[in-house]
Amino acid sequence: MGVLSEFKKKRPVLLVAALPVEARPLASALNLKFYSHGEYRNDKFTLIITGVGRIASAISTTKAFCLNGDYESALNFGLCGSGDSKHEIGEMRYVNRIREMCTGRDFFPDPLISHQWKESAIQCHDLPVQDRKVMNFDPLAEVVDMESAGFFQAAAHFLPPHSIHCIKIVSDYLNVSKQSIKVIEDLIHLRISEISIFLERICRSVIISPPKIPANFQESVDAISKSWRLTKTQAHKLNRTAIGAHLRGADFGLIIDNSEQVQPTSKTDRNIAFRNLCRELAQ
Amino acid sequence: MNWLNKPFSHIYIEHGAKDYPTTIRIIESFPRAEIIFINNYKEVFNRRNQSFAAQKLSQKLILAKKKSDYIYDGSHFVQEGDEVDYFYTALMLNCLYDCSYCYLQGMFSSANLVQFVNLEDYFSSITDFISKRENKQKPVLLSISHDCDLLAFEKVSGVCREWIRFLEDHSGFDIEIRTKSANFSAIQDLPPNDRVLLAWTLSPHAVGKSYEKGAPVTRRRIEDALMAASHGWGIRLCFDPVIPVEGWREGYSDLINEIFCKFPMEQLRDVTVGTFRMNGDYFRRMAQARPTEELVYRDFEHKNGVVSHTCDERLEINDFMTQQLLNYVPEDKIRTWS
Ligand code: SF4
Repeated sequence: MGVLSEFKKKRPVLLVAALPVEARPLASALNLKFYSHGEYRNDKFTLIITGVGRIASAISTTKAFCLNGDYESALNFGLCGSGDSKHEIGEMRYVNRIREMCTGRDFFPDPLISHQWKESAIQCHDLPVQDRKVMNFDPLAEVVDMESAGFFQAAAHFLPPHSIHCIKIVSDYLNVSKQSIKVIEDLIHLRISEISIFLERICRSVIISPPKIPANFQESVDAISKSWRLTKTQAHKLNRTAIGAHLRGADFGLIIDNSEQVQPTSKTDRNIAFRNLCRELAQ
Repeated sequence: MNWLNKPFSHIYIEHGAKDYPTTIRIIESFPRAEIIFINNYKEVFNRRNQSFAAQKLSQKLILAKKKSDYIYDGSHFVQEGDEVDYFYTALMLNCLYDCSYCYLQGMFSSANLVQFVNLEDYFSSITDFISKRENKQKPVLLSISHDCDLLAFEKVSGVCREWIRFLEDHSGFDIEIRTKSANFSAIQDLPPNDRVLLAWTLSPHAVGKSYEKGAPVTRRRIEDALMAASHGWGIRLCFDPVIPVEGWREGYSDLINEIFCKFPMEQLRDVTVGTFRMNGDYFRRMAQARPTEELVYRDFEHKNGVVSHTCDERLEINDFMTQQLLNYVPEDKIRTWS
């Protein structure tokens, strides 16, 4: 289908984690270098550590986009709790619905890109959840975190929903005792190869970039626009007509070559020549 | 593209739509789909910043309940004459196919498919509407595959079948089911009903290949229309829009010869011919959403909020098509949009 623009210059992917313990295994697996406080980078990825909570995540995500609006996609990666002991600790979840508990609003990433994990809806709370009854507010959202809703709303200002992803690792059953840093890093390390595969996928653009005519023809079209002193509107129209001809697979080299020989001397001649050229290109 | 999810890998279901038979039937067709419950289809369908082009590569399905506005006045872009009252109903939004000239890509911000499942509400609405009409003498034609290709999805949804059955016990209107599918087999077990107009849109092979992505090739559509005719159904054939590409005259003339040399004319209700036309706002949005479509670079006329060929071009195309059709079809059965 020719839709995948794999070979164009790739834009980086923004990775968003709340805690250093979540970010460290990713940074080392992806070979990211320290860039500034709470930020690691290489050519393909920028990883930011936002701090805990919806607001912190939204602010840091927005800041990252404002400093570099040109991300291909954004991924919120982190830990989540589960109220269901059938979920295994260390299980990965791709989030397909985010319930912002304080407002009751739902947000929907657009899952175009395939992955190998189970999917879940997630409840995003403003305070750590330690009471399983809280899960009853939205029984279809089986896992809990504190950042996804903030991250998603911020990223949605800059990216289409199919380029915004949340993946989570189940790390606890909402119990009070915290996992040790070592245990958490181990849980993430076990999943690093799966995560890397997914990251490779979200580095690619799903959308084809707008078509261009071959560079040599573009030069000729620009030269004609200049030497004929076309108005801005005419130049724009000529360009679009040439792109249309190119998309139809028309062989318009000869038409352009012939037109380059034409040198209109008056506005009227110019307008006639312009109309003729557009008509020929549109045939 | 195996890194993209398969079409309908995800089905969004409104809480209020989950128990309808149509929902249950559809879900059974996609046993591996991820089900996501939602409050209102607009939460998903109207998200901002969606990419129509990207979503076409991995369409999702949304099952919803239509809450109001079951019947709309016919569009001025259709060829129906004054002798019928033309209405349409939106049972589904968007289409399985991806035609370059389709207005849906300018009308909706999402390429995902919405199927409304509360058919009983549509049925009571049309019954009510028919009973309250003032001019009961004038026939009513209700298009049920507007803003979609309903027959293309029939094997999954069964919605056309429900409508045809409903028609058996309810008089006062006819329905039109327009399609580019080769899916007649999904309803061929039903007895033909002369209040159902099955309409196939046909294009020369070259146009179909370049401008009607995902739709069955013309040969299969012709075979399907012939099959429906041979089962006794009334058929409308649509050459709409006629796309002037290189060699279009030969292409359309060959197509007309190909179909009419075998078509049982007693089953032909009429033929419609039309040129490309679109609401200006939709066209502008389509040009943004689909910058790789050659059509959006054409030098169309923008007049009175409508984008179309110039009047001369329209006349030329319509005249040519009419002349070709007159070799087979009486004039009173040819309807053009101009
Ligand atoms: S078949 Fe009809 S509704 Fe479907 S994409 Fe083509 S023009 Fe649009």
